[in-house]
Amino acid sequence: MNRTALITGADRGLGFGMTKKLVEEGWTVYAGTYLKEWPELNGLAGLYPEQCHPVDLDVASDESVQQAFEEMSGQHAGLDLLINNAGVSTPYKDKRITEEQDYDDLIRLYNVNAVGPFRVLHTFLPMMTGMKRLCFVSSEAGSVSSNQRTVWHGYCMSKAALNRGVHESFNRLRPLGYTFRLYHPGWVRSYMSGQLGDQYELEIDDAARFALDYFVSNRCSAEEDTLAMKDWLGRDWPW
Amino acid sequence: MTRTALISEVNTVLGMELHDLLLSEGWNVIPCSDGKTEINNIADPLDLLIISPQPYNWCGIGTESETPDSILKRYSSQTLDAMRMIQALLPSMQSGLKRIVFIIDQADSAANDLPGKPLGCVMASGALCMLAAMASNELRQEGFTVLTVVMDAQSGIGRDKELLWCRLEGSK
Repeated sequence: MNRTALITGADRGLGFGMTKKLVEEGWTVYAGTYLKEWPELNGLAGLYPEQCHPVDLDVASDESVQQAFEEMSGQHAGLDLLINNAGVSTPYKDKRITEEQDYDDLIRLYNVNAVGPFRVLHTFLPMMTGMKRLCFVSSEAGSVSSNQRTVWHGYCMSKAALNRGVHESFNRLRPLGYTFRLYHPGWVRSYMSGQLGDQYELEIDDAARFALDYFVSNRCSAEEDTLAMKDWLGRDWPW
Repeated sequence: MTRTALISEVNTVLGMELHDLLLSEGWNVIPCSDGKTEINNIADPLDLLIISPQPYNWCGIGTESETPDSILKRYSSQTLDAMRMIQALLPSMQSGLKRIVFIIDQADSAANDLPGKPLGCVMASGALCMLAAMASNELRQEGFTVLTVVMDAQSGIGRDKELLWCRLEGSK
């Protein structure tokens, strides 16, 4: 049975890796594209024209998300899987609280990393059918009780807010049959911060495989009734 | 010696009760109603900064008019204004008790599983908890104590008064 997914932030990195793997496994994937200068996604769409559909999607824009919804809802009846993957880092991440902050940049991070997933969720919820699986790529950086950092305020605060928002959405939507995955993918060798993070622990293909194992697999209902943030090794992260 | 405290949101039930509690204990209290009032004119030293929760109905949050824009405004007005306030007041706090207390509304806390809470409030509160954790990570190296206290902001201090007072002044 053909299944359909929407993945945000699919131009590169983990988002592209998950898009590629799902398409190779026979899924139809609507791949949110924002970074036009990255050619890989269009290359994949050329190889799998019936399955891979790039769609313009800026998760920080109400208009863009609504436009993507209208485009997709006209083409396809439903979505089994929504993967909120799009996220950004910042060049100002190394500032301590005693240093002057770029508050516009802190707002920008929050808009993409924290508000973006709920902008997408609320817009696309009417399309969710079948699996009704809602996935959120978060980070251990959003775990308040394990955080030892003194810098990266914007990123850490945005991911903590995302985690709390997912918790609230879980309380509201789980009784309606939706299933949730909140996930720390590990630190992936991608370009999220603008430069290749080649010091990090996971290659993109491995990170995509680990993530999709968790996002696509089913769990028993008792497990589905509990929300936890898991990482690629299956470890729980505290709030 | 008279101690001095600043409360970020004094125009709430909890904020007013905190104000009265500190006054009754002989403290000098600087009330602040919008998170920004005259914080550049604080006389040294400031002993205690209390980041108190904003009201729930701020900028339409918690109503049907909640939008991505209002969620962003809540973050800006609650979390980022708290950050601005800490940055602005740190110099005044260097010779005081060096105490910063974040009060988190119980309704927004991670332990509350009741559905239907305003998304903007719980998200901004999560970000605020992270700010508190990271401020603690950094400022404890300079002798500061940064705490979070979870309270029911709607009903005020109530039976938590004694425990809260220990947190505020730092006694065991």
